[in-house]
Amino acid sequence: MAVKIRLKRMGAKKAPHYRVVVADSRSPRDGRFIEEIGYYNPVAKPEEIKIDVEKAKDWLSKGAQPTDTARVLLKKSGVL
Amino acid sequence: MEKLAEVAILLDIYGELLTSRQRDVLDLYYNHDLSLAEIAETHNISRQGVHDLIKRGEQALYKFERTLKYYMKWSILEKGIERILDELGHISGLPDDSFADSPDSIRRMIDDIRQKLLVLGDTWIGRLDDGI
Repeated sequence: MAVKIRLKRMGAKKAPHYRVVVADSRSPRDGRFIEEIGYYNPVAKPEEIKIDVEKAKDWLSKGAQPTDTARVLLKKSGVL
Repeated sequence: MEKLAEVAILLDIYGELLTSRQRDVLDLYYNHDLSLAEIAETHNISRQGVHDLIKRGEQALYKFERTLKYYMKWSILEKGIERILDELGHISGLPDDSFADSPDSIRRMIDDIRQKLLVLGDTWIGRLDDGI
């Protein structure tokens, strides 16, 4: 079963922010995830990106697949 | 990545105006970060079909915004409120007798107005469902 690194929308209407989570690919909507490894706030000026680099690398080494958007954040954080 | 937040906000505002299918797919794509392939699999449609749904849904959202401009108006309102609160910072440095009311009571009054505006905004646009 594939494990993904993906963004999970939080925040109020008109003010989205995202958690970066490690989650089972089959449970996108029920809100369950394995671990939170960071967050992304696109509304802040400048935008805020925080990634736990150690955890991210650990999960990548275990074969977790980042989504396209998660990959961008991991790159910006120097993980990839 | 800028587009992510932009479409997510437009979806908050205008989502109810889309077809339920478009809304569902855009929600999965922008709020749950599912890939086209994953959405295709759960919905039993082709990847291209998902792509088309998303494209058309986005176009519809941007068209609503061009016509109604709620997001733009809201942003202007928010900036105005921020400005008022900023200006209050300067006022609070002035002597109390410059005003009929003290700066503190003016600040409370503005905060009260701000709260009412925010409630208005929530009523206008609604709150996120739990679970997102």
